[in-house]
Amino acid sequence: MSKFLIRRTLAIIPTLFVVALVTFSIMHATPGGPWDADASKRGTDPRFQETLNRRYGLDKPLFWNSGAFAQARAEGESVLAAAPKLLDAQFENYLFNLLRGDWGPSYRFRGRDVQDVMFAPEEGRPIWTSRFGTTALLGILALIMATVAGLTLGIIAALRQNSWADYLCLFFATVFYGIPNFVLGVFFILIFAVALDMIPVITPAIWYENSNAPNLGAAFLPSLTLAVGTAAYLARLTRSSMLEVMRQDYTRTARAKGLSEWVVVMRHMLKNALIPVVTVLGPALANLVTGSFIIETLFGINGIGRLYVESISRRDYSMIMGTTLFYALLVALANLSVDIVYGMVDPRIRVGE
Amino acid sequence: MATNDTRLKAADLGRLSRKPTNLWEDAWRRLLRNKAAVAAMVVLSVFVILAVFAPQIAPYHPLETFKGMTLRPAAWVKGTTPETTGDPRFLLGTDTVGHDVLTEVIWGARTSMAVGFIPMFLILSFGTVIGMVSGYFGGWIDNLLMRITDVVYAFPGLLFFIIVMSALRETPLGNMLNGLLLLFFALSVVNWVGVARLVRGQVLSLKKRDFIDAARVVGASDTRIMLRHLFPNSLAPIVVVGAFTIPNAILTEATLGFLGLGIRPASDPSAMFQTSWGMLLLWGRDAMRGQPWLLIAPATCIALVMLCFTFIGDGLRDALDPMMKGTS
Repeated sequence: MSKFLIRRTLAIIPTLFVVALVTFSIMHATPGGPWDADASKRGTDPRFQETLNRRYGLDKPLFWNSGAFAQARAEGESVLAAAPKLLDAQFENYLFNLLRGDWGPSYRFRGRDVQDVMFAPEEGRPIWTSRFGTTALLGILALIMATVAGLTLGIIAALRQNSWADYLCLFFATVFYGIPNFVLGVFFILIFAVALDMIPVITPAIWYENSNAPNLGAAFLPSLTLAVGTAAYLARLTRSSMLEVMRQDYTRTARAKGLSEWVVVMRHMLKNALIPVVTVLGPALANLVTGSFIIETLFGINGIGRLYVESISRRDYSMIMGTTLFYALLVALANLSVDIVYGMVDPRIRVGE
Repeated sequence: MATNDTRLKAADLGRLSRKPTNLWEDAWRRLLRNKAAVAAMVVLSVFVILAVFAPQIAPYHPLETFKGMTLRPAAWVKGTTPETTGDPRFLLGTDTVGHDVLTEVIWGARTSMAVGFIPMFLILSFGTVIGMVSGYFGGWIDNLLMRITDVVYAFPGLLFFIIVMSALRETPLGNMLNGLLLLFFALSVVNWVGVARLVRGQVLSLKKRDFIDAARVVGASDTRIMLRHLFPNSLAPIVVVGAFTIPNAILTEATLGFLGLGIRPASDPSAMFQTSWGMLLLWGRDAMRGQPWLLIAPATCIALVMLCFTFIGDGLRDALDPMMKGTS
């Protein structure tokens, strides 16, 4: 098992490398640079731009600094000594800095580093009130809601198969599985903010100004929006998986032994029925994670998702790289954690053994 | 359950006297028995008709602006001032620049349908060819495919679309068809991989079967085995995947449109694609109190289309392969 885990964990590295390479290449294949947004307003003069480019290393070639390499060779250095010069290019420099924990300066938030904007809270506030903390809070709330609601509905539907409760659960699960989360969010806003006037149209800050507790009232609707689709998916899956388990011999045996219904359901049925459910938690989790771009933009929440969408339009290269890699890492970790849990719930199918 | 039993018996009796049917006829009959799928197909055909005949059906042209008629509410709304009262000429009201919302929603159907169906053909054909070749021949092609698959699976799709759509927006490719061509391209680049992987798995299990050996023994060429034996036998799962590819593409377009990265708003009245539901949502967000229909109409359309495809996809899967029923 540990051998498999190590291999699986190490496999994340090439994946992230490729993600970085693809993102970097696409971003730099495009016309326009990070200073454009200011150029129209301030009329940045070309000399100033040049200085900026030099300061941020944007004047270097993207992948291979063959100029510096040729110069070093001309100055009589050996191939080996000159080789590092070849790597003195934007992409390699970015990766080396990344490994040192320096995600590069943000071009949009002047004077701040990318990791600082993403993970550091405002002055004098606890660490969890950062943008990352906000996104994580929404994600965790959504995951809890989705799992609890999905499993409960699925179990009830399966235990009362073909009753009105079953049909109701199935109906809602099908409908909400089909409706995309941002459309659902639009409806929620229209109903609760516009028609019923229960909440403000623009979501207030997720973290209270004066205390360091989360404003769960504000976080509720966004996380619910995120959770509904996943909950519906889990409910459908749990139901069909439970129905399968109900017909198994060991369930009949457990009943025949005279065990209480609760023990039969929880210990014999649910434990087995959850195996297929666990396998989809990874993709579901990844779905929740990437859902945050839309939900945060829709509700106007200052999290990493919104930061990502905004830095795209501002061409904040280092921020795009940072957030993309961060999201890719989260998705990879979500899938990895599922492999681990999978082995724990079902000893028969320890992957890689 | 009783009604089902009798129906089953009647069907069995009928089968005795009927000429043999093939998989597709059987599947079609099973699909027609699925009420949700049939209803979904009816609703969807309405959207397809709207998409094809948008210029004829829509009351106005999406670029036609009405001076002094900005952000009018729906026709039936009675307000205190003329600005807050609906105008019978505009059933769903007007938007921030004075376009008719109903017209825009109808033209939006055209964009969504195109985004759903056109990349699907690219995705399915490319994915099937690569999947068959790599499954059948194995070797380095197969290895390469699996490495590509690993990367694509690890790269969150939406992340990739956002980056591509924003980065390549100003290039010639990004300008064609109001940016839709770039979206088709991006969707295909990501989604063919899933199809290829599925077909590969299908081919791997099929090629060990006796009928393939038999074909080889009588001297069938590789091409013939692939085209006449492997392809028809893996068509059923390909069709099901196709049915789920369409709503994904439509959803992606709507999401990107909502982030302002989808189709560009048209300036040329003769352009094939003028607006999209996602874009309408983006505009509607700023006017949700006065003119909620700018949000409600496109959101309802997206939800309806997605639901239809869910039902059709589920129905197709159950109809084509009753053994797969309930898996997803």
